[in-house]
Amino acid sequence: MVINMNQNKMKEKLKEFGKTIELDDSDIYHSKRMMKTLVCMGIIIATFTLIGLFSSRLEAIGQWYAGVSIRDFYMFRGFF
Amino acid sequence: MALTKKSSGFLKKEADFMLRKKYIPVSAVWEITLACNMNCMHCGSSAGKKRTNELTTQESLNLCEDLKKLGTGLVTLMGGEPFLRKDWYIIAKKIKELGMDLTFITNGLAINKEIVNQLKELDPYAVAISLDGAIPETHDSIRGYKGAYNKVIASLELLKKAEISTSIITTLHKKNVKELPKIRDLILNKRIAWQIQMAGPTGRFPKELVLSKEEFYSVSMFISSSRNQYSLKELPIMGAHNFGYHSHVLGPIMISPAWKGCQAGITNIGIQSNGGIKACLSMPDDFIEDNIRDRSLSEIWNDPDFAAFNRKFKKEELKGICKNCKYGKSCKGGCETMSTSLTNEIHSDPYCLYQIEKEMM
Repeated sequence: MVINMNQNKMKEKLKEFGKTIELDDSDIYHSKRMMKTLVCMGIIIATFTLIGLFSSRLEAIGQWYAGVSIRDFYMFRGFF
Repeated sequence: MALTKKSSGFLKKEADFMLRKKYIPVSAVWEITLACNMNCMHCGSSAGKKRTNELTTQESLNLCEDLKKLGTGLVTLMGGEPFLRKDWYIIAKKIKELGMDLTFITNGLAINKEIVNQLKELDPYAVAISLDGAIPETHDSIRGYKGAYNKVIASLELLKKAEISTSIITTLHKKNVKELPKIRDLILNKRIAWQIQMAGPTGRFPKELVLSKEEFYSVSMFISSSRNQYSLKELPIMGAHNFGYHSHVLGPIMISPAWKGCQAGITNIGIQSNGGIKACLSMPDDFIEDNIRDRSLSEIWNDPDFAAFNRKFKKEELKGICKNCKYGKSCKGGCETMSTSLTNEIHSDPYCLYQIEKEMM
């Protein structure tokens, strides 16, 4: 399973992948999940949950769907 | 942390969708003309000449009202090249008057001061310009138009000067995938949003130029890396709907926290310039389900059989590598356009980060 994979082996695999489009070492190094992005993701989920709470009167929060498009940039970019 | 008025409008619509438990075309993507002044190698709709029987101005205005009645919150006008249609401003103005938001997707070639002034009046959500290379040679050769790159840069500057929300869209294939870092340098800290999408073998795009799975994964690494290194203010970057899905290794690729499945016919609708209706405009023409000249948009959308492949999806219908996947029920097999164009089957998009990680790591 991927998540149990040896860290060194994973790094090597990422390097191998990155070379196919000539990514530099910095991009390869930073491509893995990091605390910062996980926190941002958490904030986004929390934001949507709150909006879901207010908009749907405590219903259907789990199924909230916001879509993925250019407009999302403009909704979130002011937050970070 | 306050949501903008525009955003809350969309969110209310999407909340309504959840509350009423019926389908609402929250986002409509509308090809207002197939006429185009470029000849891009990856064009999914083989644009160039306009269709012989494109909707008239009056039919288009009626369509705007029908969309509003159905609850649409955002209309994306594209082509072909939308600004080649002489009445584009009349249609766009109607959309705004009805209280819907507006996005344009353009190649930037026709943009001049006059169009920028009209756009400023319209106050669109975003104007997205295609940029497929970091240098003129790459962009111009992909777009089949010498001078296209310089024109895009000039158009971006005009739009930014007018303080119009501006994005670029980069469509990736083997001819330009190595230029991503240079494009990033070009737009960093310029408050230009960046959507990256993958070219699929639809329209006139040759299959041999489609990214390999390794290249696809590396692009996802690039997006994840960029988001780890830069804030959304410095570089608002995201993968489009055909990027990502359930990675256990990389950070978020799309801007929303999780992929909730293809939205064709669920919250999205695609409209062709001759009135043809698809659940998603990107899907091949085999998926044209009806025409607004034969039935009203409301009848088409509310037909229980519309977008049946998506609305009536059952996990048992997953195919190929998606069969038995633990994410299958909500994922529905990724992007249906990629799935059908690459495998001739729906619900089996082979470009999935989770599957690549399982296969190759």
